[in-house]
Amino acid sequence: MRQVAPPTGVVGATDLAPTTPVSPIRASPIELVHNMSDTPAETSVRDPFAKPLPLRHPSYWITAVVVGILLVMAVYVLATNQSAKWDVFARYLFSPQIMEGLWVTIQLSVISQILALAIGCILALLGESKNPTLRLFVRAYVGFFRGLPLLVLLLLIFNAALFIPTLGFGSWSWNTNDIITGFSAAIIGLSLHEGAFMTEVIRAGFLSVPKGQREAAQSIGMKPGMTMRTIVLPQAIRIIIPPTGNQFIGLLKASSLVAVIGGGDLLTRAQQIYGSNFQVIPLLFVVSFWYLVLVTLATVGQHFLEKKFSQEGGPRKAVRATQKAVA
Amino acid sequence: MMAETSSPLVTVRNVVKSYGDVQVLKDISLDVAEREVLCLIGPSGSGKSTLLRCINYLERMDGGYIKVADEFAGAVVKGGVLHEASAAQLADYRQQVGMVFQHFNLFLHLTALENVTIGLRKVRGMGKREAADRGRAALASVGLEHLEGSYPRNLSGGQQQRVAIARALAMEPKVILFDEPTSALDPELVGEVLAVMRRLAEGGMTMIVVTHEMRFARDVASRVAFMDQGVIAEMGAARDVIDTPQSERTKTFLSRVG
Repeated sequence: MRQVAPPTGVVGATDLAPTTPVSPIRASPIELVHNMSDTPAETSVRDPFAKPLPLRHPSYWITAVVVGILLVMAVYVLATNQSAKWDVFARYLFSPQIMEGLWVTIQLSVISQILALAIGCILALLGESKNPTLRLFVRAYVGFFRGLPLLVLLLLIFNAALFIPTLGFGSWSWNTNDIITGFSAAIIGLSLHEGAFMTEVIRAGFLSVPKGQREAAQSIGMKPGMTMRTIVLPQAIRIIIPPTGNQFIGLLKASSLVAVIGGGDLLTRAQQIYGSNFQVIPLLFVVSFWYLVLVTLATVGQHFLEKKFSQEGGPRKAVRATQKAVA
Repeated sequence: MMAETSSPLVTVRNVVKSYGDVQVLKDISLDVAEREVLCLIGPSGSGKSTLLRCINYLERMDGGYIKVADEFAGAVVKGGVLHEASAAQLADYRQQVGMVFQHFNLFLHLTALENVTIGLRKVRGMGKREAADRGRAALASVGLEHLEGSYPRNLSGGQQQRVAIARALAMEPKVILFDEPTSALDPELVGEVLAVMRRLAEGGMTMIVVTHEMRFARDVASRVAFMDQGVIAEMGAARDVIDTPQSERTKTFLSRVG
């Protein structure tokens, strides 16, 4: 089999043309085809070795038109619908009651996420312990609070007074009903529930650090706790961040469940309003609008965090950078 | 078995270890004197690495004992009886036994210098400046002082392994264990790591090296132990074992390795 040498360029090819009649060196991709029938191609103005012409995608245009039509239809339906009542939507969008509810939703989500993070860290660390009782406790906790539907858990905690009338002992006891309000029950329920998921997220982060890293740490005389703090945790953080962001977005939305116990959140307030004026759809649109805003903000924040923690210099530098940014 | 007059630095006695039904170490005994270099050779699965990991107590043994200087691996003497060591006692024991891994296992989130100094800072409680000085000296001894700020992912395999050697050295261990230190390296990078190890040996460091580098074993080791199927089939002066093996199994292995 004779090797066809790659052409060196168009200039070289034309230079060689008169002296070498059918040399493979002067063959361009187009000529290689045309030479089969002994008719040299002369019509090609374009450099035969230039970047290939782009492939056309007519299907992209068809899709865009179809989706565009559907979008216009949806907007039309929403704008002209009798029960949408956009004037009511506009009236309540920034009303004080809705703003209060929005603020409660933010508080519930942020406080519960922070508590859940603490629960997750502690339980994930306990889960690494050699003590079998501690490991069993962690597994039971995760099994229980991940297994129980959040709605059921919230109702149980809100009604705790029915089966635990007082908390504490001796002179240090309080009436359960004084402690459990809609808000506090919401915080407790959301934190316990989210804590179970965060335990799993953090445990997965620990597992992602290769075994050799721990062995190396042990081999220079580090104790287990120190190995965890200085070697495993800093490397696990970048694995833990993205799912934590997802968890937070999930929590933000799940916090609307506290409406059933009068948690005072966005949905609770909207329900209170449409309970008296019957403008159900406009108020649910208001609620939807604010949840979408919150989730979008959270997504931007998550993107920012992920970028910070994956940057050059490794997660530790990023931890320092975030610490500076927070301070 | 031993000809040394002074008491050995590392004593391995009747060590037995099984993974499930498979016995990987069958009654292993050997001694390593101070300043000696012992190379463990043999086919894969013969128990060389397991023995090495037992010495650092990264693996528990099922029977027998290992002693480095006066301390037992994974155990302490209390009332004349061996008791299982606590995590803190184990950490103390490991400080005198350095380890270099096949896959380097450098701390990926730390620079070369920080990899070398983290043990000094966290385990020894040394000040930042003093640790950095000693870390730089350790890096210089493996010829990498100019790369102290680099992260492991920006270093070649050979450079990573040299940093790993510096990390072990910085803790000033009594013995360093090398677990196939060049097996994961591209062929052209093997030389630089072996050169560092050779210099260490010449400097009088006590070393136990699991290796497939027969020339290194022949030239650098004081003694070579050939392991096969969980036993030491042959052990003796490096050149004797490699040039004129006595056991059939050693002969077969060496002829295959070339």
